[in-house]
Amino acid sequence: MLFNKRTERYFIWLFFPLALLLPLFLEQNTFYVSKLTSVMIFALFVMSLDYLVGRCGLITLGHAMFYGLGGYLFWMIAPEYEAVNFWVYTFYICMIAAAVALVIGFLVLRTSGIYMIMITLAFAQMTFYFFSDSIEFGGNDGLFIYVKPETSIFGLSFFDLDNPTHFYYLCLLSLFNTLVFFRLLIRSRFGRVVDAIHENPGRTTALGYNIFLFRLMSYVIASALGAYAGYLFTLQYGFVNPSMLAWTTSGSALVMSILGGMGSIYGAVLGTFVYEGLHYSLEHLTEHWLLFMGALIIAMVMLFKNGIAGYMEKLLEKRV
Amino acid sequence: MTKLLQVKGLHTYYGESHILHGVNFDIQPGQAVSLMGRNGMGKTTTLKSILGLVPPRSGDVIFQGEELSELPTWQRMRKDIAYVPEGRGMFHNLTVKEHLEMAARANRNGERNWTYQRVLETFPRLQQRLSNLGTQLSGGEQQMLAIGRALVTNPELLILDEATEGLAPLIRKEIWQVIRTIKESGISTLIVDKNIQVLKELCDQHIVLVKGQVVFSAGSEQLMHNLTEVESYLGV
Repeated sequence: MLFNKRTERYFIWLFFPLALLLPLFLEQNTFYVSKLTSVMIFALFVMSLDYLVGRCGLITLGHAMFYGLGGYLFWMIAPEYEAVNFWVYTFYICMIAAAVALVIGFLVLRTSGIYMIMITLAFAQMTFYFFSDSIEFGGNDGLFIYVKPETSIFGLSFFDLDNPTHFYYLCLLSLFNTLVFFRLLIRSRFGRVVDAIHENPGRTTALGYNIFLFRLMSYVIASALGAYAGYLFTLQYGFVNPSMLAWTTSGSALVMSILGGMGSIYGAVLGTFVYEGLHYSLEHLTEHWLLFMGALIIAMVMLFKNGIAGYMEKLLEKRV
Repeated sequence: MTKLLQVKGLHTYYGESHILHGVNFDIQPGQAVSLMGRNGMGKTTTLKSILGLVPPRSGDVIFQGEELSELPTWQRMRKDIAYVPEGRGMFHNLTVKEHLEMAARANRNGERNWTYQRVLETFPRLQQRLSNLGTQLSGGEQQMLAIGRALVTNPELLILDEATEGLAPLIRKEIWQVIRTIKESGISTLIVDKNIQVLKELCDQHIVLVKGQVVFSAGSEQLMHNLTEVESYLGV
């Protein structure tokens, strides 16, 4: 069975049908459709970070570099006033981001622990200042995307990206596909070796595995998906700016991953929705929302030792 | 006959502590070799130096005529060496099935004599525990899995570190029987253990380490002749 945990199956059966039906009830209110879309996009980004942190044990504070890069890359390679094909550019952006990740990962993955956090942060800050200080990239204000891509495959087009509901469904599909992709990856032999490396690198190397190569491949995969999320975000709002690259973006994603339950992948979606839900509710209640938000996150992290997913699994799973 | 493994003048340090003082020995193809010594004499360090887990400062490790000293551990293991570490080395996050699946590979000649299925036939207990996590097994089952995980890599040389330590007598007997089967199948073995009674029958060659030096290296016959001397080295 692809989703071998009961909790994960419950989550999928609850979340995706609900998410499929929700726009039907929100037809009049595109604000909520757009809001949910942006949360789903970020959840996709958090999922890619969750794989790195939770499954590979690679703690990075520079993952947002790829999120921002996804947006900037689109601006760089797509013609300004022409609708390009969404799928073709998805491929281009993921491939370029993967190539960048290959080079950066080659350097970053020679370190570990606190040093890796510092180096990933350094790379992210370098990229952040490069884009925010470059006039040709719009500086602090960023850049506008004037024409959204078209999504036809063999002449058939299912999504109109200017339509918020269509865009919502595209992001929902992306989220589902990414979840399935990660589950397949984890179940594969590659995924088992990555799990073994996370548990004990020395023992895994003694089984004849080049742990550096496995970590590098994982880093490349997660970075390409992180860039895909950034590309979606840029298309949704029609702009890209340096805040996407900021280390605080990586920091928030890390909090969401921890909150959801590191390494569970579907927990990343839970964590993002809970975090964003709290954010949205509290900021409308009080101007000191950050204080309450912080307190709630501390409480949840202390209560749910392995995140929300971990807590739910404790309640629902019967271990063999 | 070409030697399978040659260990020449290994000097290994932990920081400033000089642990191995020029360890030398050879293993012939198909041989079972015992490595004995009291605790702290450098047995595990010798194994780790061969595998590159603790790189020696000087000395050579030559396997099937190929110098391994400059290679990282994972490349050495790909030359068809397998290691069963002391303490079994289970992965907490993998099931029995996943342990075997992730480790399985053909040897350098493309042969797969030891398959997932053959390991389960050799250790029927594991068959009933396929979906258990590595840590949800008894000590004996963990040891069987550790040996099975090493066998599915189809090695030419199997290195076992304290494979029977801390096990109940019946399980121990079972493990020794399996090691005999492995030897009979033509795989060379380097066995670190304290049970001289079993080792003298099972192994063709015996090496005794005292303070990081080889003080005795001979065949079983000579071991029997010098049993008192060897036992004094082992503190038996």
